[in-house]
Amino acid sequence: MNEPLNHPDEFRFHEYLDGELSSAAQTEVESHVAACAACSRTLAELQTLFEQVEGLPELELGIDLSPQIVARLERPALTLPAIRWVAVVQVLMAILLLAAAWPSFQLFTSSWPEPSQLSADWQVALAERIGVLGEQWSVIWEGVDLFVTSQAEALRAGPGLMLPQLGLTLLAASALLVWLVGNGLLLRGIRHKPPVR
Amino acid sequence: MSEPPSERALVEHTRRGDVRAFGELVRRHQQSVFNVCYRMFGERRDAEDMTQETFIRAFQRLETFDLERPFGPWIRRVAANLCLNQLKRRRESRLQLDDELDRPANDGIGPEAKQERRETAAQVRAAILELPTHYRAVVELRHFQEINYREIAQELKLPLNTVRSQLFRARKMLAKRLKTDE
Repeated sequence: MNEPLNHPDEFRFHEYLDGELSSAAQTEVESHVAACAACSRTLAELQTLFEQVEGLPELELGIDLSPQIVARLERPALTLPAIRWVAVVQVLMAILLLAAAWPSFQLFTSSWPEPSQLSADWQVALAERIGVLGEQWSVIWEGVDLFVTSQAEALRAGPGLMLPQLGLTLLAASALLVWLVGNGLLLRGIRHKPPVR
Repeated sequence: MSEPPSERALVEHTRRGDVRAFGELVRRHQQSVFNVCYRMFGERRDAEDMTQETFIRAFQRLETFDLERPFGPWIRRVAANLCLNQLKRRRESRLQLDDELDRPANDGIGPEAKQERRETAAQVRAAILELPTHYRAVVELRHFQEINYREIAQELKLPLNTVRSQLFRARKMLAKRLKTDE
């Protein structure tokens, strides 16, 4: 028997089995396959492959994942308004601290020369400036040390001496507390991956 | 005896904040979602983790689910997409099957036939895992989720012709691999 010409291209058989062809195109393929042994074999092989793949049995999960999933979903996340308020308080505390530190910063920079006063030999001037900065940093650290010592003495002396220094200390302590609590709340909302078994 | 709630009711309850209702959806579909993930990863632990992540993601996106359609196909597509994205992040192209064996069903066939089925199944799984990640995804969506070319293209955000050619090439690779195993 003479086999018909105009064999469909191989994609046609895929589309036929996938149900992607119009009814007219399906009929055309079926008529051709009925008359063509080679194409009939090709289609049959493709169909066998489909059956092998789609016949893959399901595996048993074996455990119930719903309790873990529900537990993860029920863990309360921080609400957006709460996050907003925490951020606002943290920013306010940061501004207050900066404001409290501003007089000290002005004092620190008051001895700096104007840029126009720097000599042409800027390397020498820079070295001198670094030296001066180093001295100023030493003064600051001595001041910090004195401050800490005075706080300890003020605490021992009694409430009368505590107020000026204590204000700054309380401010710093409050800022630290707000930072810790705020970040703790924010981090609590992050969901952790299940532990590795 | 009261009837179990419909999936539509469970989704509606979940949308109103009832996480326990979502738990029931998980129980009904975790097996099929797990199998999607296992076909993509070939490793039980990864498949279990991805099953969890699929449901978490689905919960977060439940507002996008069309109540007129069944939940199962939707959640399985979420799974396939999530697995594909995860595999792309890991840059894992071809994977190897772990030693998992298909659990035999109690279907009355003899032990030899069962053994042959298990071996065939293992060969098919291994062949699928050897496919590049994108090919694996189109095979999963076409053969196991039974969605058409156009929907696959939308799901994977690929041109229609790319989906066709990837599917055809994947099948060629599968046929070659399975013929070698004979």
